Amino acid sequence: MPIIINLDQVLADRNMKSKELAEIVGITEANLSILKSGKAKAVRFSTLEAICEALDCQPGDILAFSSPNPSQGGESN
Amino acid sequence: MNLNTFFKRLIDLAFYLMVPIVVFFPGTILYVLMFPEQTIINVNIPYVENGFSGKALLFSMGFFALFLLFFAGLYQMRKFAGLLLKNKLFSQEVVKRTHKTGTFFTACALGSLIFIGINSLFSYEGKISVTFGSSNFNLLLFLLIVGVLFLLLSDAFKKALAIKEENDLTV
Repeated sequence: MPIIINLDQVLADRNMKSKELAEIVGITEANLSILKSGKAKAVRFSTLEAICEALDCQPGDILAFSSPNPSQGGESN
Repeated sequence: MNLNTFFKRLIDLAFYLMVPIVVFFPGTILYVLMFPEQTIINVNIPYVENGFSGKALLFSMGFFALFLLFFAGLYQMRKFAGLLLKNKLFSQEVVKRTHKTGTFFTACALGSLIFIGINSLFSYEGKISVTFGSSNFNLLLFLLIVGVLFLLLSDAFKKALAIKEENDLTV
């Protein structure tokens, strides 16, 4: 999937644990794990809003786009 | 008793009533072939006026093959009913079973329609009989409708499964 989740990195920067974030956001740890592992097919705006609020960051800090075909451009990590 | 249990029991009943036919039919035909003079078994099939000829054997084989198709469809439907009972409605297994049920029923109905068409051509004696109420033709047409319905159901389950997976993976 060309959408990359940088949640682990943001969590490490904030010195916060996944369990803590799940509690603040109000989602299960299993769902947070799905999000972190990149298996999620969609993220609700309400969830994204809660995560950004809890981590005091922008959606762009958590999500990044990496094109599978480098000639098409896009940020690659 | 809920509707799922009732459905499963109905199919179980039909299935177990058909098992003896599947098991004993080939043996019975073999017995009639081996002992043409026997009088114990009266085989109620056409073309046996002058003994059990090749035509009668062909008819029996065709009839049995089509019956096996129906039986296979019923077997798949029984598995599907079992999955419904276990509440596994949205699974790849349900998609597979409903597709197989539809394929077997459709094949059986189409084959039978062709079979009775050919059979009526061979046995045409200048008379046309009309059956009012539920005739063989009507029942086979209904079986064809059920077969196609199961194929559509399989497609619907496939789409539902994809939507469910997407919903499950939405955070």
